[in-house]
Amino acid sequence: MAIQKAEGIVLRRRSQGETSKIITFYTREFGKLSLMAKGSRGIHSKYLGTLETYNHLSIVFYQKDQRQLQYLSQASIVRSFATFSTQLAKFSLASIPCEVVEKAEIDNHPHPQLYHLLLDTLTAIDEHHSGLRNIVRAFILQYAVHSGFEPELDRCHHCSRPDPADLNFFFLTDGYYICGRCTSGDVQSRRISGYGVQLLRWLIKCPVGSAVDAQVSAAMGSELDLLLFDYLKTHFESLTVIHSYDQLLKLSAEFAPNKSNPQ
Amino acid sequence: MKYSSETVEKAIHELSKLPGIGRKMAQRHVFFLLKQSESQVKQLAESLVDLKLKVIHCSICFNVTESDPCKICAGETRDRTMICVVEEANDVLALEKTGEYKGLYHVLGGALSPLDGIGPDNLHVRELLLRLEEAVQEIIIATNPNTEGEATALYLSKLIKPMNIRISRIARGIPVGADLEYADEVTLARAIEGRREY
Repeated sequence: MAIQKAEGIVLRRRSQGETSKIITFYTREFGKLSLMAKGSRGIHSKYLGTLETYNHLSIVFYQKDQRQLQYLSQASIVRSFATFSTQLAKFSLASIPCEVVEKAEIDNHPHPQLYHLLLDTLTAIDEHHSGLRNIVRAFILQYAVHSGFEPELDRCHHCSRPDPADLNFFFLTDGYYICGRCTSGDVQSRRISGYGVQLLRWLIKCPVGSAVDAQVSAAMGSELDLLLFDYLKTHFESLTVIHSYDQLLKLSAEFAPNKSNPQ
Repeated sequence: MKYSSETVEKAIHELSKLPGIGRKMAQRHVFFLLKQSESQVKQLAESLVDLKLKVIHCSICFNVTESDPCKICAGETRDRTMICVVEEANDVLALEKTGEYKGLYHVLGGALSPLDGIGPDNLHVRELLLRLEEAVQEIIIATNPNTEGEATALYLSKLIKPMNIRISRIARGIPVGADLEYADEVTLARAIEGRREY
């Protein structure tokens, strides 16, 4: 039996029996990892308040090869993203990167860059007050890069011109765009403006925290979101449904500023 | 290993569908039942069938009940100006045990959890808002003090605030009998934040 230490983010918690929980982490050292937290449902549990969704933790667990599910031994908070429980928008947005990683990553497959991307994304959502959706857009693009599905955005795939036209067509399956000078698109392509292409180019490379600086109108934001989430759905079998994105859309519609009566 | 009796095998199979019960434990339960008298086993079987036939959800508060409205909603001594909002029917039982609360309840049927696809449409939120059109003066939000419960409380308060109804949240902090040194920083911070004059 070996004692293992790791740093990770709580992605999901499920109750197990009367007293325990199974916690799914995304860790720097082991990638996605599910551990049994014995007794963590009890009111006097040492894990009380620690194993909250999104928390960044330092954990210790016993690795026993003949056991399929390892047992958590210690957990302490490195950072608690407190604003996620006090601001509904942040709570909804933070759940998107967590759901993407939880669904698309396989167990025990470490990917330190992806771990840092997830942590930086949650930190940026916690620290900033505006432009939060751009953080998630940057996350999706950079997640695609880390997973080997980097879209080709630096030039038109057909004429190789680096400057996009006013109207361009992005091909989800192939992951490139062809400018409006070369094609008039087809049913499988998505229309994207020249500014939209420039934004994607920036979001794919910028530190996620800087993504808040991008000037994105509501219409442009919807255009980008549709394209990015469909890109994920096209390339990741496990992401054909992203619940948290659907819920975010519903909540955003419910609390839209021009809606006078929330009922 | 499979048993030669199909009835035993079927009982094991059915019991192992219960949460936390694997095949091994189901086998133990089946052999325990085999040793019991016929009347005892019949009583158990009848109570399980009754559970499905007689128990319903109260159409007002969504608590589990055998009569609609439930005893709490129909109770004449209950304070109708207060509604305590909880996640599950089990929470009603826990709060009733305290004997401290005399108002009404509303069971949401869960908490917001975008990761699981649980949004406001999956909870009894609309029904709660309809109830607020009556003589309600205070809403006590008693969802669990975890991330999902807090987000649900936040969501409800956003909806209810424009209605000029007093909204309160159950206190969070150190549980009775706990040691301070073992409390995590979030719980301690909440306990200090929610301190009261002594």
